Amino acid sequence: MSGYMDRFIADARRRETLVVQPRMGFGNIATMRAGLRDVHDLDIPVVGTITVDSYTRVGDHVSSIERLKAGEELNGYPIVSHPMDKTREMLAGLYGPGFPIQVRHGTALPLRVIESLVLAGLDTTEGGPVSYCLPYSRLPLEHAVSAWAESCRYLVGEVEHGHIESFGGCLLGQLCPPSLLIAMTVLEGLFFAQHGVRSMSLSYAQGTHDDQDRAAVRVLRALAQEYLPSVTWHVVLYTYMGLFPSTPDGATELIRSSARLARDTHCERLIVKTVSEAWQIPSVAENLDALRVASAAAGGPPVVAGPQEKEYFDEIMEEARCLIEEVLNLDADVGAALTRAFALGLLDIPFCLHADNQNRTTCVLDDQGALKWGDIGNLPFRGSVRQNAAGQLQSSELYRMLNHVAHRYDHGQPNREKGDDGKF
Amino acid sequence: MSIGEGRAFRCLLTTVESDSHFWNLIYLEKFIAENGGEVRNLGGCTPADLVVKEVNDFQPDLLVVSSINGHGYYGTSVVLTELKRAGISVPCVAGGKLTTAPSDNDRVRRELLSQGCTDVFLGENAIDRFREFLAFGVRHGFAAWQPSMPVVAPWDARVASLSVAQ
Repeated sequence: MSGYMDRFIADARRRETLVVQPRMGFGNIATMRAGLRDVHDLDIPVVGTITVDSYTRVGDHVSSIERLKAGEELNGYPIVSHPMDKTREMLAGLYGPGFPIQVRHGTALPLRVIESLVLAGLDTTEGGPVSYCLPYSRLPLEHAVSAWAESCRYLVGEVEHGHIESFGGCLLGQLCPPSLLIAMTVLEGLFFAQHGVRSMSLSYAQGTHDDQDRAAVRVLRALAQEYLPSVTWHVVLYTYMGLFPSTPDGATELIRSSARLARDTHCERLIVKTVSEAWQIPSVAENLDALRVASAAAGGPPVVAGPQEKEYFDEIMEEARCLIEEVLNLDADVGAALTRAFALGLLDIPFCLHADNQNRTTCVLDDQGALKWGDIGNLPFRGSVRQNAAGQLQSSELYRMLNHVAHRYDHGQPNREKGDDGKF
Repeated sequence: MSIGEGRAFRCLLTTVESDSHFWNLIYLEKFIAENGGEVRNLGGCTPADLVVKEVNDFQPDLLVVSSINGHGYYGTSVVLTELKRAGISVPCVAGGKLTTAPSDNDRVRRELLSQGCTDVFLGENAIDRFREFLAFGVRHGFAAWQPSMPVVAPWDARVASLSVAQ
């Protein structure tokens, strides 16, 4: 037997259909239910989402309710603060085997959120000790590691089919080389498994280059098979998480390209962005449109491997395996190993300002538009891994890299590596 | 500290407590440095009392609050309140995406100006206007800046007069 999420995913996999999922959360209970109901009513395989609000993320369970009472909209559902019976009523008739629901939250200290989702009758969430601490919180990594360990044990102790997705494949959302994303999500998967979680998903955020992305997801699947043989896992892909195209055509094409990437690399689930992403928190209607667009785009024939894919595969595999092995060699306890790895700079997230991240690494775009290491700091790479140190990055250069994908798609050049400025 | 031509100014860069975004802070740190600032970047999810402590410690010529998670309006108000409570007067500007909808921009800018912000940079040309502001501050000091007053929509006119009256 398995839980709603695993069964739903396994069923879609058998039918070779991509499962899509929005990123959606509303502060008001009725609005949240209406949004979930509209997603539930779609005639495509879809998982529902309750994204919690930013106050709840930082453990402030008072401001969310005060802001709602003051008539403001929240950017998510305050699952800890709303009365539990109201949340259960909100879910009634929607949540079930045909409509799994995941709670997305972004908290470094997740126990309260996980207690609340369990009390609401749910069992599926996401995050991780690194991926929800370093990019999202000021808390010491060590605290997040122990809180996540406790929360994993709580979840699997309270429900039969607790499922956690590692957010390690996203980190800061853009400008991170694929090997670190893959190593991080596999390491978080190992951490979850060490604390009793038997059902999980591993993540990867679409990057800047099609061949590199396809190679990266294949590396992730190979390493997951190798390192996590005794748990049930699937791969969730995120539509590009960085600066999003501002034109409807550009945004739609980017959503489609993420769906095709998912299809070509056998990702089971896709977290979809919307065309209004560049401007505001999307409406339910915009989410529904994006889910339909993504589901349809995944239906076409798969694309064969591009010419550079093998080269990218070898490079990403070498780096990701090196990172995972170095970390696991530090300590038999994965949480302790992760903490120590960041202290030593063996793991170091580019541009991450958290005090426990050394912030000595950088990421750049090469002349193909692919993600490469700039400065590798103290990362344990040897041999063929090259450093492309670009010296001190100017703000305009950083902005150009952050804006690279949006620019390409807004100017109708999704497959062109060189942009208008001739540099790319 | 007076600010003369070509001299660096000290800038404390922060966000609000509920906002975990980094890219705006990483970009602005470089941008402000390139425009003459010595920047202390407080990173994501910054509590208001930490901002007050750092203002006391670093003695900046300018405080910059950047937020893009849709809750920056409230968070910036909290920072302004805490600074007032601590008896601190420092030129303070805010910018980014401060509410969940861009249609709020004029109202939010008006209200934050009335609460003591030196200026508020929102919308399409925010970064160009911010650059002009920094250039002005380097020459004349940030406190001398006069923000252009936001256009008040007719249906908001009554609310605006009330908030000014407060």
